[in-house]
Amino acid sequence: MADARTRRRGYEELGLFWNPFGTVEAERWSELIVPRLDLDAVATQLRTSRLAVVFRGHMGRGKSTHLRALHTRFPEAPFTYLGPEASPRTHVPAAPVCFLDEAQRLAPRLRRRLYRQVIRAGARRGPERSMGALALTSHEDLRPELEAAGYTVVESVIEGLSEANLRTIVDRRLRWAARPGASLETLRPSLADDPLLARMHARFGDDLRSIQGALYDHLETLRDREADREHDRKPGERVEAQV
Amino acid sequence: MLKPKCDIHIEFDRTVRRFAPGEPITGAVVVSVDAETQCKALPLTLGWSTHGKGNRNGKQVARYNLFSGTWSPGTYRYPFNLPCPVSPLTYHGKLLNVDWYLTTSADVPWALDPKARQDLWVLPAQGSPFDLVQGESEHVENSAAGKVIGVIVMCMLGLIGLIPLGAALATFSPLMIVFSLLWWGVLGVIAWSVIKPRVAKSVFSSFDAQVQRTSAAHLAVSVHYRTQKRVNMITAKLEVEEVVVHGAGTNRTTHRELRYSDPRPVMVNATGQQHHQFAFQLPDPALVGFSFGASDNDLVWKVVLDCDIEQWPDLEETIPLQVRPRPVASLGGYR
Repeated sequence: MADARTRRRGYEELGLFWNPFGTVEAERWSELIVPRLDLDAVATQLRTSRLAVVFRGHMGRGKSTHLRALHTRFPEAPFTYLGPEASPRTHVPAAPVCFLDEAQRLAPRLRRRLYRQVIRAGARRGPERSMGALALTSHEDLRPELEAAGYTVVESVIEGLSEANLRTIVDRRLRWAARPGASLETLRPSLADDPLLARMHARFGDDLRSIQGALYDHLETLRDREADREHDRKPGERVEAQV
Repeated sequence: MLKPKCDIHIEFDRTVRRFAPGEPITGAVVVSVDAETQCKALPLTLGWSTHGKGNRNGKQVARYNLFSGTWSPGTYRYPFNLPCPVSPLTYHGKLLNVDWYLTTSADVPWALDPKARQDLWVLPAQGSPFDLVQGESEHVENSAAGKVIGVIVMCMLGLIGLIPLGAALATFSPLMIVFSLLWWGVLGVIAWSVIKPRVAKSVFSSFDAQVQRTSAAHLAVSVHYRTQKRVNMITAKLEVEEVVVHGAGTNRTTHRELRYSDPRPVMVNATGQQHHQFAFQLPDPALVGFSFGASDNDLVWKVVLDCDIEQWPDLEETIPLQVRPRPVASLGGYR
């Protein structure tokens, strides 16, 4: 591969600004998510009661996406993500409403202390002691310890993905990345038609993360094809893309 | 009563939206309204953003308010004239893309704000001069505390591993033998990955590699070393690689994509003091991309040296490079 690969073209020929199945900015997750529950209602409950909402499910199903989408409704609330390398003794800042991604990675003793600290932080906010709420993702069942700490627990198991739901998610992504003048009706057939989504659904089931990864690669292949077509039209001018 | 309609779009004065650093970016924001519409602000922003497989990164570098007041029905043009930013440069790869955008949105009370976005390419002319310097070494020495902890952990795992080993030897239980083999196998792989680079380098009494740009389009890599072991072959590779990190939740993953690779193998078959020189033709960075580094998104230029030593682990050394467009003194920058 000693030849310098030519500069890849942008996504203009596909009617897009960027690959719709690439990474999304945190503040956009709220717009793109197709939630499994009414996040606005959950947000209201988090503001007004001693609630713990727990998103559970396997990897790649959308637990963290739901949690982040919920967090956009609480920009002032701390959000802590405990990565695979995070210490079980990581300091998690307490607040009247507290967000914790991968809560099972925190040591049980520190989790219980956090539950108490959140309730105390909530109590300082008003005399009715109705605040003090948690939003978590977890692979483990945290309900018993949350209930023991005095929380009402709402558990949402993120699993299962219908083809119709997948279509909705993909359409939102396409709209997000579309250039002016490119409509869903024109983008769908060329980029992500129903037979393609059916194949993806059959292959990956409800593993949305894997489906998005495969769709990302599919779009990159289409982009290469456009670049090759351009190359065939204007030999020797492949590098100089007309933006 | 129908809601008043407010359309907004960005036009450039030229059809090809490619600009060189410092060049003026000119055009207009065009607003069409079909009823009297109040506008609190019409900001125009210039910023860059990464997109692709890595976590997104970006920055807004300029923001101007083009209008505030009331529009009567009609079409309005708000011209803009901005200097083209110097860096980062537009880059389109497979995992990593860097794009510049002009965005605007009319702040209309009690209505969804109409928005518009246009992308533009920021690139020096093809064949423009560029600078290449040897970057900081990627080799990171572990702290003394880290080393001690590592040794303690490995010793503990070794001690724990004695239990199934002892049980396997005492009972000859197939389950215990398999478990013990697995335990020691995994431990061996971990230990080997840690000590391999040190073992490989231990046979060299000296090893020095330097890069030098010999002309605008050529790079020379000089390698001097002394060893008692026979070196079969040395391969120097000039590489350009996209390295991005994606993920939240349980899936924080690093992805890599090689954009350019030029391997130059040299048969050595000798011991003692050696000197090798590798000559590379530099690819045009306007084609393969200039060095870029932002959180979770990097385009890395490097020279990788791979020494094949007879009956010994291979030595791999990486020399990072920084390739930047040559700065033009007269260009102003955004702060």
